Amino acid sequence: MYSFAFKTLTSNRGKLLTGLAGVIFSLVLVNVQGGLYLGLMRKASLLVDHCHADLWVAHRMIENVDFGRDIPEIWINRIRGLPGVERVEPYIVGKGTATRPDGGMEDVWVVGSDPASMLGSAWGFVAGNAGDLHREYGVSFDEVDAPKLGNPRIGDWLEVNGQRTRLVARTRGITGFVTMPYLFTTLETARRMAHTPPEYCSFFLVKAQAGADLPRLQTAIRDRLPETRVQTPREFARLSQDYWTNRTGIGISFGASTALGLLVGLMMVGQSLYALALDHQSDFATLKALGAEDQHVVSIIFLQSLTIAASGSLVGLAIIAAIRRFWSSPLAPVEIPPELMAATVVVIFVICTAASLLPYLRIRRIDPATVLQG
Amino acid sequence: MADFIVEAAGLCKAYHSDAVSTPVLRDVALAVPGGECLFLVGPSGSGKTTLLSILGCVLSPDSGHIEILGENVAGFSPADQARFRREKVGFVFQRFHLFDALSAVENVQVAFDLLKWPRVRSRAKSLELLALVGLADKAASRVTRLSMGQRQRVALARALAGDPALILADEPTASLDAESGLNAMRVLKELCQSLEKTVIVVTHDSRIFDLADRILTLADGRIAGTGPAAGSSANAPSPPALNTRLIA
Ligand SMILES: Nc1ncnc2c1ncn2[C@@H]1O[C@H](COP(=O)(O)OP(=O)(O)OP(=O)(O)O)[C@@H](O)[C@H]1O
Ligand SMILES: [Mg+2]
Repeated sequence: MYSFAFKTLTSNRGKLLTGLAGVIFSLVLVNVQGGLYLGLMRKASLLVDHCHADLWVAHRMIENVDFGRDIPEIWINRIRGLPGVERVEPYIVGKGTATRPDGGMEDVWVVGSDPASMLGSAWGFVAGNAGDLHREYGVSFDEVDAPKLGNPRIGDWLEVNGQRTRLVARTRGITGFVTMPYLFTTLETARRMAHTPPEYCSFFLVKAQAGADLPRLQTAIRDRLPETRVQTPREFARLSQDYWTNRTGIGISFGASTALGLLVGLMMVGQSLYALALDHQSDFATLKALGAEDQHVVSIIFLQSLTIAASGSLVGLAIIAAIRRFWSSPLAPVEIPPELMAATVVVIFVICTAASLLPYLRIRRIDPATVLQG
Repeated sequence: MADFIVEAAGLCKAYHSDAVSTPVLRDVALAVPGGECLFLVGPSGSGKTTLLSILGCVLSPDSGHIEILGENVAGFSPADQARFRREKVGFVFQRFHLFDALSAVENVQVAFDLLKWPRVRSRAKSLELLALVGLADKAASRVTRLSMGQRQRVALARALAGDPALILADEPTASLDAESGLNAMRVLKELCQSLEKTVIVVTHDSRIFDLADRILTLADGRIAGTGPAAGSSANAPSPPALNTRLIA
């Protein structure tokens, strides 16, 4: 049966190519859509993902890591002595407006870390380093944001909220969901730049002792500070991602375009299999006259759709690998995990199976008597 | 082997379209002994193909009794009919109905595929059958590259796949010129004789009447005449030394 299924398919190049194009199109579209979405989500939780805190303590009404709300720094004392806590540090994520040398304005995030640990501070330095951020007024910026800040050089001054700051380090790959530049610095400099009231900060970052029972510690902190929200990095990342997904509707638009991609793929595969079956009606009639039953017809059409699914998937995966390699950029990161690829290949196979139903129903109606009468 | 491979009596068949019923077979009776080469002749529209279709379990009669190889095929379900066609009947169609995308040997193999033979075995067997019909050197050729006569022989090899007891051929020479028609029919007749197949051939072609053991004439849906063929047995060519051991 396989040689009949396969040769019939390959001797009809046009239909084969339509089917393959459908599979490749679906697979690539869905993966790129998914990859862009995951890339955006990664940006939405960027600060959380790159911070090595074990727990985040935030204002009860926190919605998103970028939108820090002030909490009294003095509360920190209530959790410092808790069993399992190694240390707790205040952390500031605030907003400011930078004034460029040319007079233009640019909104920026100001992120301040405890100077001793620099927990939650910048990474990926290409000029300067974390130590430079201790210098007076010292802040880091990312190379993606250089144009927004007037293409400054290291050592240049920048005014933020009327405060003088100095650009002492440059990083690569730090860009968030809102695409406002992140300026990383120490707690004190950040407080001044972001106009955070004295004795306030945005978050407490908790480092637990090695081997500490985190869920228990989380509950203990909640009990001590009922006015706060205590989350693991995973929970907080999720909260920040859900915020953008729901607020912007990107979840729906990505979902809709993905579904559309799958639908178009389904139609292309279905149409090519159907046209192929129609072209070979007389062959199927002959097979039936020779004693083929439904199961034989099913296996032929199924083998054809499987061939299209498998070879289309191979090509599609190669294209996806190339896109991942050459297209992804810090501004539009394409994050395609193997799980996503595997899942879409499974979906493709399901779709191809579904697409073989239509030609099967058509072939089922063919009367073998036509072979003799025809 | 049963005395009669085919025994039928009172066969009736009508085609229905738009509440009009056209009777095609009226009270046909038929008995075909094992190993016979029977020709069905008659004017166009007399019901030859319809009768052959019933004998091949492609159509069911409206009424009447028909037993083939000891099975009462009149009462068969479509699934039974398909099974019977796969296992017991070999068809040679007028326009061959080979699979154009496939090679000669793959065309034969399809019949074995339907019988769920393992690939290696079915390939070897298909090559043997092609050798029997004299096409060993064309096994790998796509059938569209073969001459009409060669295609007819591929069709014959396919009909013999799975060793069916009954071979049915509808106008096997109609698509061939006089010489290759006669040749193809000779191969069919001789092979089937040496393999002890029962053969029923529908034909208009009086040039091959010589090859029949018996000729039945259908007219207007009834058996109008019967008798041994004009030049049967006595001057029929003797079977060549075919290697019958090849056929399981
Ligand atoms: N599917 C069908 N529906 C309706 N009428 C049919 C059908 N098939 C055949 N007939 C009619 O039945 C009659 C017998 O047809 P059949 O094909 O058996 O004749 P035949 O003897 O084989 O003719 P020929 O020598 O032309 O092949 C014809 O009148 C034909 O028109
Ligand atoms: Mg006919």
